[in-house]
Amino acid sequence: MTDVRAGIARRVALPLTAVLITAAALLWHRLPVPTQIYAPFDEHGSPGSAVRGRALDVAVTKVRVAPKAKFALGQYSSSTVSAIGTWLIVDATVSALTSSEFVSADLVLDGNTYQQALRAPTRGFGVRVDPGLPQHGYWVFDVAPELMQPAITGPLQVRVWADSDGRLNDRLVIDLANRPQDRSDIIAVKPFEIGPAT
Amino acid sequence: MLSGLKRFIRGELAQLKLPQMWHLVAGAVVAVAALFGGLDSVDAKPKVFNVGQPYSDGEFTVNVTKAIVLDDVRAGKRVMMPTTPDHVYLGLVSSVRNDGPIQGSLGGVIDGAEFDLQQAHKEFLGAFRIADSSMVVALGPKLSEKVVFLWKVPRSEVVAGSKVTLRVWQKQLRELVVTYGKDWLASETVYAQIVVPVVKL
Repeated sequence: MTDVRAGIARRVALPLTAVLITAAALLWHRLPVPTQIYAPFDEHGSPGSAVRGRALDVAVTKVRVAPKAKFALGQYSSSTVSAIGTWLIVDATVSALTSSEFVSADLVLDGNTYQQALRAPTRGFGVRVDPGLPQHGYWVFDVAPELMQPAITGPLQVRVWADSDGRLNDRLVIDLANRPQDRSDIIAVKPFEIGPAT
Repeated sequence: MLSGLKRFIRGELAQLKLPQMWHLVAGAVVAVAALFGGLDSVDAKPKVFNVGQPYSDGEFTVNVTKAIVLDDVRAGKRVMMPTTPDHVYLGLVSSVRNDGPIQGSLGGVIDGAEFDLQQAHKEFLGAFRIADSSMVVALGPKLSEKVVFLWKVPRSEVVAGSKVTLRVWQKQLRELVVTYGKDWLASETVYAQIVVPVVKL
C-alpha cells in the first residue's frame, strides 16, 4: 500500500510542481500595481453643467484651441507665447465646497496624459481655492496637434482633484470630446477672477 | 512507449557526471526565472549612435545635429549668458520627441539631463527652444521640438575641433514604489553613447 502511494507521489510530484510554478508566475505577472490599488474614485461629468465631488465643484465653460495664446499679465500688458504643439485651454469655474483646497488638473487625450504647461506665463487659478469664493480661470495644456485633428477617436478628458496626488480620493473627470472646440489662430487669455459668477 | 522514454531519460541522467548535473540545475533555474520576468542581461558594450541618426531611449527619440562652442549665449540682441574669462558654453543641437504617454523631463535641477555629458567639469544650464529661445523644462507626450542643451564648461577643456562624448541612459516607464504614480526611470547600467565633433558657431 505504501509502495503504491509512494509511486503515485513520485509520478505526481514533477507535473504538480511545474503547474504550481507556472500558476505562481501567471499570478506574479497579474498582481495589481499601486496606481490600481490606490486609484482615485472618478466622478464623471460633461461641460456646461457643474460637476460636484466631495471637495470641489467644477463647471467647464469653454474649450479653446490655437497655436498661439496671448496671456494678459495686467491691465495693459500681455505676453504672447506660441505652443510647442498647440494650446488647449479649458476655461472653468472651480468652487471649494467645505474647506480651502489646492486644486490639481491634468488632461487625457487619446491615451496620453498632459500636465499643465510650464511655459504658460500666468497662473490659471489662484494657489488655493477657498469655500464661498469660486474662481473663474483656466487650465493650459500644450498638446500634440496630430492628436487634435477634427476626428478625435480617443477620449478627451480634463481631470480635476484636490490635494496633491489624489490617492484614494475622489476625482472629477469631465469629458470634452463631444464638445465643439473654439479653434482660432490666437487665444486671448484673461487673468483669473475670484468671486460670484460673472 | 512512455516507460521506454522514461528508461531512456533515467539512463541518460545516470550517465551524467556532477558538473553536467550542475548545468541541468542552472538551466532549470534560468527557465523558472524566465517565467518571473527573467534575469537581467549583462550588456557590456554600450550602443553607439551618430550625428543625424535618430536614437530612442524608450522615452525620447533624439536626433543630434551638432555640438557648438559659444563665448556667450544670445537670443536676438538679448544676452542670456554673458562672456566669462574662464568658461565657455557648450550647446548640443538636437531634436527631441516624447514617444511616451506622459510628460517627460528634459533635465532640471532634480533629475539629470537627457544627455549626460562626459566631462569632468560642467554645469548643466537647461534645454532651450531654438524657435524662440525659451527654456523647455518638460515635453508633453507626442510633442517634438528642436532644442539646444547648454552646459557651462572650462574654456581650456572644450575647444572647437575637439570632440565631446555624451551618454543617453535607457529609460523605462515604471510604477513608483516609495511615492505614488508612474514615471520614467533611467537605467543605471544601460546607455547609448554618441561622440560629436565640436564646432565654433
